[in-house]
Amino acid sequence: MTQQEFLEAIAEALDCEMELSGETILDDIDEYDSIGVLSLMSYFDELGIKVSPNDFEKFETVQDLINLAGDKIDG
Amino acid sequence: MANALVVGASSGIGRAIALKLSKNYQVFAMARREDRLKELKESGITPIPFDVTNLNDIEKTIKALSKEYGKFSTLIYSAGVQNIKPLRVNKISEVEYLYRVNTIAPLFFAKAFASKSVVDKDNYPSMLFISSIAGEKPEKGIVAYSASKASLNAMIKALAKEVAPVRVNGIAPGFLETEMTKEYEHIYNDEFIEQIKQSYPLGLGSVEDIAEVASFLVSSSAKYITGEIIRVDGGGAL
Repeated sequence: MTQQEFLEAIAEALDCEMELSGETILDDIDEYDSIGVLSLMSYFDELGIKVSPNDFEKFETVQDLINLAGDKIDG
Repeated sequence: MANALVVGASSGIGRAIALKLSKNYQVFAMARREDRLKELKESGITPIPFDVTNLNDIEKTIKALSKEYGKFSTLIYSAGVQNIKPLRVNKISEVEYLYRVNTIAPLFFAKAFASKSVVDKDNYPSMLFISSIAGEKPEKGIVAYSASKASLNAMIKALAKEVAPVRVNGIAPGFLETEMTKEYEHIYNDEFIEQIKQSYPLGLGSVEDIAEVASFLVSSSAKYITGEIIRVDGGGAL
């Protein structure tokens, strides 16, 4: 999966129309609420990555999600 | 001793109920995981490996058991799956599986159990289904699960009218630490459990608390109770 595909998957999980980049601040995304976090957890679960709600409290930008996905993203 | 069939007995609430009933019933414990069922043998429980999602095999399996071991006075359906997923990430295959286990299979277990060739009419026959407080108090993030349990609740009440004098009841547990909820331990983490302990007036319950009420509901002491879904949640849904 490319980084662009990952960003699109994240946007779909959040049902967010905003264009996301690594610099996007998570708290600036309206859909990044408790349901948004659960949706992202579900998405990461499908990638084989277990993440807890507490982990999300430490994340600040979309780059943190990219880092979490790690080698699931090409390059 | 009367025969009791406990479905979903390899762990959690079903296992606790099977063990509790084994003192007064000949218990048949049904579940997918044969290795886990075997552990119940030392309590005199007969393991019946079966996957409840094989809907076409439910009726013939129950009838075959009845023919081999005698009729059943009690059916307890405790199999269930949870799916913590917001609506936007629900998948058809996952929701279909959820409904198959939580709603459709219990209907066909009820159908099989209510058959004259299966139900032991002379021993205060009853069915008991393990529901959830989510059926009455749905929550965001578990839309499909809540709906499946609400459907089960309606089924319990309709069955109570249709199959009387066989009694049909349900138990709606609150949050409990079981293998099912442990699958979501990244969500049901220590902080969540602490919140439950604080918000439930009676704190966190155990599977044995459910088994106690189950034992009463299927006994002759409850012979005038049908169509009831009893919350056993330490006041959590108040």
